[in-house]
Amino acid sequence: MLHPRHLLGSLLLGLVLGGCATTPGPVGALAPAPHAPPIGTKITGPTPLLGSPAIPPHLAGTPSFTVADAQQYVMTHKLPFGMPDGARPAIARAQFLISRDAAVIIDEPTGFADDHPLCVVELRGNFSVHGPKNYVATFPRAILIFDATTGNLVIGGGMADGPPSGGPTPRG
Amino acid sequence: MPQQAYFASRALRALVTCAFATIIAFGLTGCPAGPATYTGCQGNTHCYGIVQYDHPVFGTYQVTMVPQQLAGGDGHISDEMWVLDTSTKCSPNNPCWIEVGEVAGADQSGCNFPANETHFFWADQRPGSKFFCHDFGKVQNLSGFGFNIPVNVAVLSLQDGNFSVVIYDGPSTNLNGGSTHNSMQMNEGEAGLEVEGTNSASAPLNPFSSMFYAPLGSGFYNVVYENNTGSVTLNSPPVNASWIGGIPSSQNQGAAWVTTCCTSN
Repeated sequence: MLHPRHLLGSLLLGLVLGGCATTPGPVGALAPAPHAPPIGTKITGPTPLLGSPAIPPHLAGTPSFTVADAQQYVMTHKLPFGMPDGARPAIARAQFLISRDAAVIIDEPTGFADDHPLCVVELRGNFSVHGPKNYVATFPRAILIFDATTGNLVIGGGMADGPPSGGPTPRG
Repeated sequence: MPQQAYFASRALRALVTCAFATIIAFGLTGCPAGPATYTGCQGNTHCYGIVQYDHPVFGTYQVTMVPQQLAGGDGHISDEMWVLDTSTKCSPNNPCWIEVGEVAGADQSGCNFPANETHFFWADQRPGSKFFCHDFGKVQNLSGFGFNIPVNVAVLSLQDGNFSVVIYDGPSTNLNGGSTHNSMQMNEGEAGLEVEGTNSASAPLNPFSSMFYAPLGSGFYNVVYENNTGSVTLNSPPVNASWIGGIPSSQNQGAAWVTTCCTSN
C-alpha cells in the first residue's frame, strides 16, 4: 500500500513516460496506487460538520441565537435552492432540536452527537436542487439545519411532501 | 512544510508545468487574462468537465484528487465525484446519486458555501425524493487536510440500505458521512469539474486519478481500476480538461483526468 505522495509520484512518472500528451503514450511500470485506507485508518462514524457562516451568534452559551434570528435569516437571505422568481417560502417549522431528533426529520445522521443542539427550519414552497449531468430535483419542502453553537448552516436539502416527521424534543 | 505536503506540492507543480506544456503543444486552450465571463452555464444548465463509467452494480467507488483553492465567482464551482443508480428513479425525473468532493460558492446545492472559500462536502439524492447536502467545512479548517495534499474520495455500499461517504488522506485524517435508508444500487461513476454562473469562477488544475470500483461487499478489496478513458462530457469553454499521462489501466493508475476552469467564451 502506498502513501498518497507515491500516487502523485506515479502520476508524475506517468506524465513523463506518457509524453505529457492527451493522446495515448507509452506506459511505464508504475507502482500500484493505494486502494485502501492507510493502515490504521479508522473509518469512524459520521463527522461533525463545520458548515458555512450564516446566523451571527450573539448570545452567550448555546443556543447562540434565537429562533427569530433563524426565521429572519431564511426570509432575508438568498437560499441555496432554485425557486420561482420573486418567490419567498413559507416557514412551516423553526425550532431548536437535539441532533437525534433532527436526524429523524432528514432520515439520516446529521454527523453530530445525539444530544448536540441544532436549529431546524422547514420551509414550504417550490424548491429545486441541481445534481450531476444537469439533473434537477424538485421538492415542496426544504429543510435548513444550523449549528446552534456557531450559527453555521451545516445541512440543507429538500423532501417530498408529507406529514411533519420526527418526534422533536424542543430546546431553547 | 510537512513532508506529505512537500511531496504533493512538488508533484503538483510538475503536473501543472506539464499540463501547461500540453496546452501549449496541443493548443487546447489558453490562460484567461483576467476573470472569465462565460455563457451557457446558468440556471438549470451547468457546465462540466467529467469522465463517466458505467458498470454492473458495484459496492465501492473511489477517486483520488488534489484539493485546490477554488473561487465560486457569481455561482459555484466544484471538483468532485458522483455515483449514480441510473436504474432507479429517486424523484420523478431523476436517478439516485451520491456526490462528494470540494466546492466554492452556492447556488442550487442545498448548502450555502461562500464564493471565496473551498469546502469539503457530500450530498445524496435518495429514494423517496430526499436530497440533503452536508457541509464538512473549509478545507484549511479540517485537521490533517489542506490544499495540494491528495485525498481519496470514496462511497461504500454497506449493503443494508446504508452508505459510507469518505474523504481520507492518511491514517488519522478522514471525514465520514452516512447516507442511510438508501436502497440505491450504484452502477455509474463520474469524476471531474462542475461550474455554474456567468463570471469569475476559477479552479486550478486538478488531476483525478486511480478511479476504481469494487464488487458489493468487498469494501476496498478486489478493486478493479478503470482501464479506459470513459465517456467524456466537456463544456469547453469555460471548462478545460483532458487525459494526461496516457490511458488509465490497471498498470497506469497515475493517468489523470485533469480539469481546470474557467476561460471566457
